[in-house]
Amino acid sequence: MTPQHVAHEVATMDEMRAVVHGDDEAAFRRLFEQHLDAVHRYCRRRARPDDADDAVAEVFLIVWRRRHEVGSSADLPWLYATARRVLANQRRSLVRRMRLTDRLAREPVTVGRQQEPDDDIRDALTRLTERDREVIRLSLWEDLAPAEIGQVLGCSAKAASMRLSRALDRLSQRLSPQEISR
Amino acid sequence: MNRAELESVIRSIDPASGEHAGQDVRRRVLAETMEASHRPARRRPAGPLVAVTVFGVLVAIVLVPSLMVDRTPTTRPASNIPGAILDVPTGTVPGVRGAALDGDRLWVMSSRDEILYEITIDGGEVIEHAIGDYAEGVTVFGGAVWLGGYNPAQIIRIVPGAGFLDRDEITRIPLPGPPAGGTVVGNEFWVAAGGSLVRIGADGTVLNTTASPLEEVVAELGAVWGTESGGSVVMLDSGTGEVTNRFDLGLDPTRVVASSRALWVNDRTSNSVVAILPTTGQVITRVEVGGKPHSMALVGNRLWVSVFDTGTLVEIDPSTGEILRRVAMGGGPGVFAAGDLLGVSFHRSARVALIDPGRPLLELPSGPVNDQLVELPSGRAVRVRCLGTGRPTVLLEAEFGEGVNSWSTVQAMLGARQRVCATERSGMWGAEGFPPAPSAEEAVTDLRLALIEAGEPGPYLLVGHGVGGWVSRAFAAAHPSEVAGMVLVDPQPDDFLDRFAQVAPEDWVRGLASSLTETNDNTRLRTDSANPGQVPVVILGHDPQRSPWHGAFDGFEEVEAIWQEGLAAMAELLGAELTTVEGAGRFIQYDQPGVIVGRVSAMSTLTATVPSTPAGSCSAADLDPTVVPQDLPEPVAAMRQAIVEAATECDFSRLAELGGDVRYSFGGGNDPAGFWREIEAAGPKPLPLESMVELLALPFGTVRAGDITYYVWPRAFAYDSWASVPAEDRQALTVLYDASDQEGFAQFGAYIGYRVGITADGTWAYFVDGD
Repeated sequence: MTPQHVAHEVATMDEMRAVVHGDDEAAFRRLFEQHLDAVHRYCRRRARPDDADDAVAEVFLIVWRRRHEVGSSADLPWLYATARRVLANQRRSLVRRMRLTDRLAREPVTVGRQQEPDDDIRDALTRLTERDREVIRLSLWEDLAPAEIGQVLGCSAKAASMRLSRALDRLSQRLSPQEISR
Repeated sequence: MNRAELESVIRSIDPASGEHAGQDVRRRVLAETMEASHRPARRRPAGPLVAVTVFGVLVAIVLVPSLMVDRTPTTRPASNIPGAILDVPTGTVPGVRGAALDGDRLWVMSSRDEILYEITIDGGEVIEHAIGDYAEGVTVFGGAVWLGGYNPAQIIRIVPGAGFLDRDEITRIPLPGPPAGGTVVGNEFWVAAGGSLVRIGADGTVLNTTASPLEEVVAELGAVWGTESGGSVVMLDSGTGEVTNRFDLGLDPTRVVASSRALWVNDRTSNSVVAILPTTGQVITRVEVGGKPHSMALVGNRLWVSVFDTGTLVEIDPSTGEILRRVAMGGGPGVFAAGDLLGVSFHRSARVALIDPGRPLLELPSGPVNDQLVELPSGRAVRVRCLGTGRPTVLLEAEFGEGVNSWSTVQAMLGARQRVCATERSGMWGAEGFPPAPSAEEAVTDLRLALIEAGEPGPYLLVGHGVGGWVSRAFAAAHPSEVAGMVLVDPQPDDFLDRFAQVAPEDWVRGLASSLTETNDNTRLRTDSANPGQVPVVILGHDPQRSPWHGAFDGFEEVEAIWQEGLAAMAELLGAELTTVEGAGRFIQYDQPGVIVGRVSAMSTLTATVPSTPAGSCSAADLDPTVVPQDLPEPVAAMRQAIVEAATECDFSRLAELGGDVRYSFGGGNDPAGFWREIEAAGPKPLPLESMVELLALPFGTVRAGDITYYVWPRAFAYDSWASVPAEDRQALTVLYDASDQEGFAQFGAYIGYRVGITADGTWAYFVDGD
């Protein structure tokens, strides 16, 4: 079978040839210094320490590789969105490779520790869907405004607001009755 | 608890609140990313390859759910393919069979590991799509990627990420026989398969199947064209698929492409490509390409033909039929048009490249090629393909299942300076159909007879790849006086298969056992030849990071270790130097051809019975080669000494080798050794080599540029201004520059004569003059 190809625009060819000698490294370092901690925290909130470190490294590798196309749009929400995909890929591979053992290790283990009031909320959070959990984390841990949440999740600001509100509702419902009544 | 309280509690359980990234993360990120911008200077290719180092040096293999992938980001070495804009390794398993460019995405089918690679040409990101079947050919059409599958015969249609949880949606469309060709016609995908023309809708439903002896089917020049197994070219009705015109040309064509006014078909019986008029089928031009024409592509106004069995590409002006260039492209290239770039898929290697045809490419040396199949009295036959001039003659012996095409890059590079013969043992490729030699010793006898018959006398420098290494070793053991040296390229260790069988999974061992028949090279050619004649030997091993067994089965690391141990044992047996070639897979001649070329030319220089350049033919010939020690770091001192020795011996090849990509103010070229000769012949007075040797005898200075310390000769160059150069240094320079020359420096304000720079790690950084 012959390698075939369809006719296509190759506008990017010229871009490929236009080797950019600009001050890429300085720009990258600025971005890195500014956002490393935030990206690291983002990953730490969602993965085990080693996996988080891997993800952080990969996020900045992607930034570096794509510096010409990303340019100034590599702001924090963009970085979070990238980290989110990286972590998702990472989880898929982990699930593939380690399946159960991995999942067991990932769940927070509370055995041997006295149940604290916050634990109810912690537990309720883990019982939410990933989608709900993520919007809550983005709002309350990453401290993003709805428009920025939308940027990370690929939806409008309005939709992000709505998702957040519904997620918090569902979280409330899952809290034990005494917690709600308190 | 109200909403505000709830939010406050959630904030308080943030597991990473106030946390900072550790130093190890910082260091790691910076190291990994900066690797992309700060490769060591000597490894950064000059000119044409800069784009490659900038775009996609770091390849992260990103997982998509349906994949089995190692997602470790890996560093991709700079391309060794001249003219390459993009050069991406596709895993470690050779066998790229088809590729297509679609916008900014390159789709590449690697058949043996059954993976479709999706490569973003700007970022060099590689995504692997597991196909789970052997497939060839890639067509992008209707939002899907279409592949031809062989076992079972099928079309595989993939819509990336369209399935559940972003999985690939894969549709398998059964065919009546193996697909021979396929093309997009309007809203349909037409496939020639098993004596039928199958028409498939964009959604993957089969619309129509009609009997037809088509081999290839192509939509070009507003019509649909095909080749038939009987040797005809046919025109098909694009509505019904019926044959409307048939040209019986008596050719053996499989491919068709159209230039502006002609149809080009390949003819494997006459080793030609043929242009015919699309209206009458009349033959306009026939171009002999020196081997079996494989695929064709029109890029710009040029027709590119890949010649599979010689590993070369031929560039043809379709308006005149003139051959413009013959380009070495090791790895059994297939070509495809990729906009205004030439796409090359490497069938025998694991990579795909986009080449800018406007750039200088690695052309075959000019001069006749002695390519013949020598039939021997034993009934066996050996193919010999030789080019270039200069002693000793290099003999390239290929791996099991390979042929002369395996060596096209190495042969073109070495051929610029010495005679190089690639050979094919009886039974292989060009010598197919002839019985194989029963042992390495008999293969050596065959080879020597064939070389005599072909008029290719020794002395020889042997290069053997894989099991071909056994033949080289048997040659050196039996005829050491004819052998100037030996470079073994990832040679098969003697006991490898035995040890492999002890540790590999059962199904692999069974597969191995069934393949090790009487006719298998592994069975016949195995030798434990030592090195009784003390021939100089270098063994080049593949990089364990690019293990050919990588991921093939659990515990592949153990097999890799056995291979590496085997190489070490062989090195000890032969008294050889063993080097691991970083970044190279089993086919070092594709991944790092320069390393093989460097070793061969160094060995040739060392052992040449007839020097390639007559003694006394350079300006430094009469100078004293003795180097007076200076207080230098060891690597710098060693390089200084080596430069003086090479220059006083007029050894241009050695200078080229020492220099690597040393900067000259004189210009540059594809042939560094020739370049040295040229500057010496044409260079300004005082002549370059003489000046260089004299400079290196003068006191040195040091210059810092960024993080790099350069040791420079003469010391005058280390001063910012000529006015500050001490009198003793001016005096010392009079061996090269008289008072009026020095007046020129004074006017310019600084020393701008010849200078040599060596970095603290012993890299020869420059030899330049002028400002």
